[in-house]
Amino acid sequence: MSTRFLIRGGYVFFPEEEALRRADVEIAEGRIKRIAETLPAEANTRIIEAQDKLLSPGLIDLHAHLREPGREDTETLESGAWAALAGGFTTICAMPNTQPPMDTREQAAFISKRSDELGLARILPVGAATKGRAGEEIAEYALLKEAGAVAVTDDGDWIYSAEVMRCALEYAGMLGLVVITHAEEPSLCEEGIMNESAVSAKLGLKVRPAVAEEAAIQRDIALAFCTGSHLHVAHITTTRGVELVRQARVKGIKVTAEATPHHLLLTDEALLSFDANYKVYPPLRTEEDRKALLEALKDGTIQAIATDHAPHAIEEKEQELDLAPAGMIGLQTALSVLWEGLVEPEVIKPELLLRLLTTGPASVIGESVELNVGSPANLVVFDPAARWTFDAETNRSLSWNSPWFGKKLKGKVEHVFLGERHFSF
Amino acid sequence: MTWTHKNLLGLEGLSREEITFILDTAERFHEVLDRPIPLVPALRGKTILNMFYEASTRTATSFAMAAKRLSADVVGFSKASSSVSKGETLLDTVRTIESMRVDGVVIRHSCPGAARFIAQRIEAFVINAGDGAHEHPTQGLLDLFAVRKRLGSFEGRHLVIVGDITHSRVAHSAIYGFSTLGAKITVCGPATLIPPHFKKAFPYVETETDFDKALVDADMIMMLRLQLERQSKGLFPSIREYRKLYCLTAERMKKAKPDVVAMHPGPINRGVEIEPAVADGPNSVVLAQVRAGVAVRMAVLYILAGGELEH
Repeated sequence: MSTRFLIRGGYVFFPEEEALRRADVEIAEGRIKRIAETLPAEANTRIIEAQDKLLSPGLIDLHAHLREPGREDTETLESGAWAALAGGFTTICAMPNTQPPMDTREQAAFISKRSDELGLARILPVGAATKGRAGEEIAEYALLKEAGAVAVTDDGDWIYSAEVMRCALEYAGMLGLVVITHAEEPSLCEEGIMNESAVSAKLGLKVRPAVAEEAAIQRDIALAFCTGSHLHVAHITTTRGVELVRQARVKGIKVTAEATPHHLLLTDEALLSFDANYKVYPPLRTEEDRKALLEALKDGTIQAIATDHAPHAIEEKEQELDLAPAGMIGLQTALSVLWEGLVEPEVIKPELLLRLLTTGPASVIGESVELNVGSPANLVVFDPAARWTFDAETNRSLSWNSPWFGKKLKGKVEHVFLGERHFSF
Repeated sequence: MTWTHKNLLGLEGLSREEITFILDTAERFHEVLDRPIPLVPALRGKTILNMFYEASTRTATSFAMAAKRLSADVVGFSKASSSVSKGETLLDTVRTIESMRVDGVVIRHSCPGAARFIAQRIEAFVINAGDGAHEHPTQGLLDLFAVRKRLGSFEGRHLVIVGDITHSRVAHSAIYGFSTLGAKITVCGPATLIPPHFKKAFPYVETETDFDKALVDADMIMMLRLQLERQSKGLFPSIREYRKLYCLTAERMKKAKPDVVAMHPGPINRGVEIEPAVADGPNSVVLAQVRAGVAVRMAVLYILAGGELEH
């Protein structure tokens, strides 16, 4: 018989009403047993005091690179799933740019099976959109879906051939799968490593301009319109990019989009330090772009915040900026840095942030989020006031390429309830 | 004046006093170069490491000569002869240098930020001898030195920099150096070779695509070297068209002020950026720039090594 838990006095995020309300929540046998304004503590119940803390359904990340198979020195499904839990994510989507790329049923099945074995954050495979991620022939979407894939993408690269992208959308649409696009037109980004801006003009670094994203999104929206299929724009970053998505949505085209914590919090000025931890693709943009992303969160143009958790080995990252691989880890820090950076200064409301990390991403991949009596326990307790240092001791990832590494952060995930399992951090 | 910087990574951020201090120090070494035995013992016992990750004849030679004229020991490598070609990372190279105990490192590298990368990780002082399209501070200093000899001061003078602004570390260092000393600056080149956000990065610099307009008012014209491979990337259509629009010809010189100073960092694509008659003519300071290079690099080595000695 498993332990009973009573989480007392916290602000509970009710996803269906999108409301935060003070309530007590009782968990027993892996399910939510009772929810009420106040609940008496029964015998054999472990009480978790959650005054001034937040109780939310487990977070969902649409975009994580878990590096297994191929680069288990930088992350494994297990270490990634732990980092996720420590950051409050109970569901994460594993991107297919592994080595070899995840483009078959067997590979997707491996992820799903491993996820079940681990019993940590649930890992949902995202299949490669094309065989070998080569951008030439579409992969076996039906078989991938059968093995648990929730979407397809060639993330890391834009599908250059419009014809292949059209096929991908048509075929995925038939199966009810979303196609995720990494929208950067590569001929405009050749050897580029940062945004084209005043900063790049000073530093002499090669560029990946905003127009590369705009051009890519524009084509992909045209194809989503003509196929009627669901297009999801990964890690959107530009003012004009979100404007294109906004207009498309107004016209009823099935387009969704996600933004990353780093694009919501940082700008290309960070590169003035030449610190490779700030090198990400798509690159950090300008303050104007960052503000446009925030507007797009508020008006619903962007449905999800996704981490684009991208582990890299230190010896790869600690190189000349031109040579260092792009990407930063984010699973464990996302909620903390977003809360401190956006909710505390009242840039966005807490309810909106939680929507963007739960029901928002769920809607993109057709998942559901519930916090009702009878629902399986899938809950996170977050203390917005707790301070902690993200360092070698607390980090759960095998990599530490993050600008927040070594920094004191505010806001910490303290408990995660996942079915019959309880994790405290 | 007390020098407070450990390294010379760029001219950005240096004050007017600091730049003037380097130029004045270089003035003293410039005289040394005229002596029958052009040698001073200032850096005796010091070791300077020249790391050239990018092909360079003049800058590498100039730095080596400057160090030798100061009696320093000079060791060095260029990309082809080093373990870089065996795939050693810059970080490992840095660790190796650190364990060999050198006093100063001169680095040329194709990646912006490479000099800074090393400077953050070693105790020896670091001089940036060009990092990609970012900065080339000793080039900026030698340009200032050569022009100062001609014009005396920079206040109110107008510098026009012509050519591939986007990919030019020479232009960046010149912009910082000349503007700090009071010059007005215009950059001039085809729209494809001036970064689109240039005005935001350098609000005090004018941009102009028409060379004939820009040169009328110039006191100094700096012609940048054109990397001919930019043509294959489609950044300009042909040499002949580039020459028509941006070559400093004798014909164009007629429209400029009679005492205008013409510079080129070398090596010159003769007849592309600048006509031989102009490069070798009375307005040119091209060879004076080369000579200034040794003096300026002596000054920088001396100042940075001296700064080390003080604490």
